[in-house]
Amino acid sequence: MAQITVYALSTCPYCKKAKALLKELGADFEAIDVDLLPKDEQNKILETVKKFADKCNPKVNPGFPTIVKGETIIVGFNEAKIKGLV
Amino acid sequence: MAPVTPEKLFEILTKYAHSKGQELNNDLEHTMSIIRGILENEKRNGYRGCPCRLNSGDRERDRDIICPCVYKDKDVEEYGSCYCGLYVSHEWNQNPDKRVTVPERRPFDKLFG
Repeated sequence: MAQITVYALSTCPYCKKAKALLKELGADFEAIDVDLLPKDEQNKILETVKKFADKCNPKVNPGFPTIVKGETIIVGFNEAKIKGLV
Repeated sequence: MAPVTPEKLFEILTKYAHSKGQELNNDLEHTMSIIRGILENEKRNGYRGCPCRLNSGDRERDRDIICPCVYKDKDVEEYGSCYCGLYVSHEWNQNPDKRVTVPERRPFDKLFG
């Protein structure tokens, strides 16, 4: 299992940037393009993404990309935070 | 009718943004990527849903995120940019160091299909 999971949308430029940055940094990650999944799987992953957003301090609204490494969660594209994760 | 090209939509949206006192993001690569995402959503679902949000495929459910989304003006006013960074203020385009990640305003329960 990869160290980092990226919940992404295939159409989203910020998700693409996050994936490209992680690749550039040589991170061990897997990316899930949620919009390309069947509806029932999408709903399951949305619940997961919401749980992660609720764990953020301060709490945030769920969004994409959501990047998870252990207990560290980044919602949205933030270059500095992503670099800090790897 | 032939589908609109990304370049043509860029022209149309530039005019629209100016008519609202806003601009398109001057990072052309980012802007064209968003525009291609909008057109991909149109191809999949028949409407131009925001490419940075999960589209349900139901136009009525997604009415609030059809680009330009109903959250755009508030976001540009408060953060200088809309959620996906397509529509921005003149000041935002001129000051890269002042940019922040725009938080999602859309209620989460609208996401479930």
